[in-house]
Amino acid sequence: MSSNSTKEILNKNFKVKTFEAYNVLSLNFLNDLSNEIKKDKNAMRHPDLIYLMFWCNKQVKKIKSKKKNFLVVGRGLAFHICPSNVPTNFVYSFIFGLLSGNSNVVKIPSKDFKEKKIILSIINRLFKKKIYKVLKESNHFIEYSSDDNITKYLSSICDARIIWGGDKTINEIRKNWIPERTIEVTFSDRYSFSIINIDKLKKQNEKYLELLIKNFFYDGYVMGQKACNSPHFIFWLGKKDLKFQNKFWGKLNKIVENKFKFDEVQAVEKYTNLLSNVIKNKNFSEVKYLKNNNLFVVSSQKKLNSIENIRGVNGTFFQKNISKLSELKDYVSKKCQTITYYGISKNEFKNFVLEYNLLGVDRIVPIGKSLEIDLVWDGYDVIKSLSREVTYK
Amino acid sequence: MNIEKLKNFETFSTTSLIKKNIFFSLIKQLSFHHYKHCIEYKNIIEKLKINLKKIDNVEDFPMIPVQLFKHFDLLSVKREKVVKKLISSGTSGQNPSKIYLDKNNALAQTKALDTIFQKMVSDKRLPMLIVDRNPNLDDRNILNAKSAAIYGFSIFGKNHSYLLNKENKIDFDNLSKFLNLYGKEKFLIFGFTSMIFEKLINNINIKKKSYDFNKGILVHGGGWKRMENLKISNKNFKKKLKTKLNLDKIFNYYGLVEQTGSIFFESSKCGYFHTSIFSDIIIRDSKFRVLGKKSKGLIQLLSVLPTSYPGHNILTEDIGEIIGEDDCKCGLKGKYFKIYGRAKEAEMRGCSDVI
Repeated sequence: MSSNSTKEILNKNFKVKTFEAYNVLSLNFLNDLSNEIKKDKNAMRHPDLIYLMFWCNKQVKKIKSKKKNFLVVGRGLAFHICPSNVPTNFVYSFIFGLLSGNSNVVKIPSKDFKEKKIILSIINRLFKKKIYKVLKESNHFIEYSSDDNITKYLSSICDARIIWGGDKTINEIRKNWIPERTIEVTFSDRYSFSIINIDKLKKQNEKYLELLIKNFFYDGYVMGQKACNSPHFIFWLGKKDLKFQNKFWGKLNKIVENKFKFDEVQAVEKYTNLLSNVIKNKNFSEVKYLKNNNLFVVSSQKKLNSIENIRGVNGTFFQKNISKLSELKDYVSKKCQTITYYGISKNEFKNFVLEYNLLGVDRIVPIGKSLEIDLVWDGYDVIKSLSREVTYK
Repeated sequence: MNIEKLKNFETFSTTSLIKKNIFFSLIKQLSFHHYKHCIEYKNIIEKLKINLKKIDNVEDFPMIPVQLFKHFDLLSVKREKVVKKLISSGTSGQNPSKIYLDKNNALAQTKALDTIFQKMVSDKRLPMLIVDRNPNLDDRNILNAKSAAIYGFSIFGKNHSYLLNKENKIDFDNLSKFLNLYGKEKFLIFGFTSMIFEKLINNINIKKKSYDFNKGILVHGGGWKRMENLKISNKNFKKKLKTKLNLDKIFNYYGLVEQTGSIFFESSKCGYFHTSIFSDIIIRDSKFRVLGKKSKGLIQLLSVLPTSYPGHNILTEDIGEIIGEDDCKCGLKGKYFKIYGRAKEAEMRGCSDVI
């Protein structure tokens, strides 16, 4: 690596260092980050950042109870290319790199997100502390729109490249050469859906039903259905019962009415998305709850070819009844990421995935947990992927 | 043609009460027309279980969001009947809107614009200075929004002269020639708002020579996105035109490429935009509830002109406010309103390329 050209793009003090995975410094940093967010009034106004605060805390606890291998160290320089349209995603990517013991160059979204500015200033505040001097020197956040030369250069010197983005973005970035030993982790565009065992849910009491719907609301509305892990389809497994399904949507509608505020842009976007879906998919039979704009439910009786590209926005869901779990196999493609469920057992899912040779689905989690980012993500153990294990016998 | 059915109504002097029934019935007819002839529109009406027959209030007809013209080719006539295609300038990286016009629709646009222009600006064809380059198009059947506006408005002028040369710089020789020949009597100036600002206001004094535009009548509009970046208020804009160019007859217009023809002019007397007999405006909140006057919200625009594409009832992405109805101090009847520009973009989240 030529140090002269590094200086042009990176800070002149930037040094590539490697650390042990889950090293104490990185855990302390995570802990402090969580505390700083909690103290920051501005930060606590943003649901994403509140979530990040809890998340950091949780990871620290989880990691501390982990059994350690002989020696796991970072690969070196990790180059993160984060999506331009998600405000806080880059922080998670950075933490992945940090916990696995790497030095990180993180391309942050060029859009003017408030959350982005707040979290960056918190991170920079922490970097100024003496104890984090070494982290300051080995981590760098970089903002550029789409300068191929910067991507090309950073790709050519990195030891790990992490790309988040749509298929087009990933293919575009892949045109940039990376060294032979460099590993690449891609988090590409995925889709997620929900499945509910209607027979079982009907047997639950009102209170339980309401809690489940609240959880569903959380999955579906917090990220405006724009995260890969947000559900779009809901499959009702069991005997079709439109009355019960309508009750479910009715209750959801009430929650949205009380808890979710749309701005005008979101409303127009939602309506446009709904009409686009109606035009594009001839197999949809009807749209429910149109008048109040809180919730759109699009029903589909006929079999669909694929649900990969059928996406709602800001609270548009597609529903379909199935009588057996096996009917779901046609809707799980390679791009399927998360299935959120109610009332289906571990074994049923395991048999289902194995029996039908499914190439998709990386996470199966209860309804309400779809947005929880884990250190195993998109089927990767992220820390393992971004680090190097040294063996000793 | 709907415009024929309205010929007995005054363009800007019809009260809302008199306009209401005829306007409702025209919008209803248009909704049925597009239901019959546009497969996508029909699909929407049917899947959303909207019963057009039962609707008895103009507010209840389904709106088409403006973005839909970017994602789909929406036509209510056979493709071979299309004589003109308008393309919105659009923001970079997005698909532009595509509007397909047949002969009748194109004619209706011209007639409506003609009527509106005559009433609001000038009923005589005057020499016209266009603050832009000559689009010099060989093919006038496919037009972007800018060229469409230039050609659309140019029929109201004569002895057309373009302010900019091919390099997009002011052609001072041409300008002097134009002002010498026509500057002593009334003449028209037309351009996109951002061009008026960037070229006419900011660059005219480069040669340290002053020009007198006192006899000029400026008609400007469009170019929203760029104007927002420049952050200049309408009031300041007018002030600069007065001090720099001695220009005070200024007509700002607002319109969609999706509803070309039935545009809205800002009255020079009151400073508000006014509906005409061809058009109406409704303001809605983010739950699409209709808002009364003096409330800011999303602008929905209705026009009786679109027949070859389903653009008669459009939900825009702009924010506006109805100030009042029939009682404007300028004397014009109908609704009068203000515009605040694009709804502020919310934070986009997500990891997908798909919209």
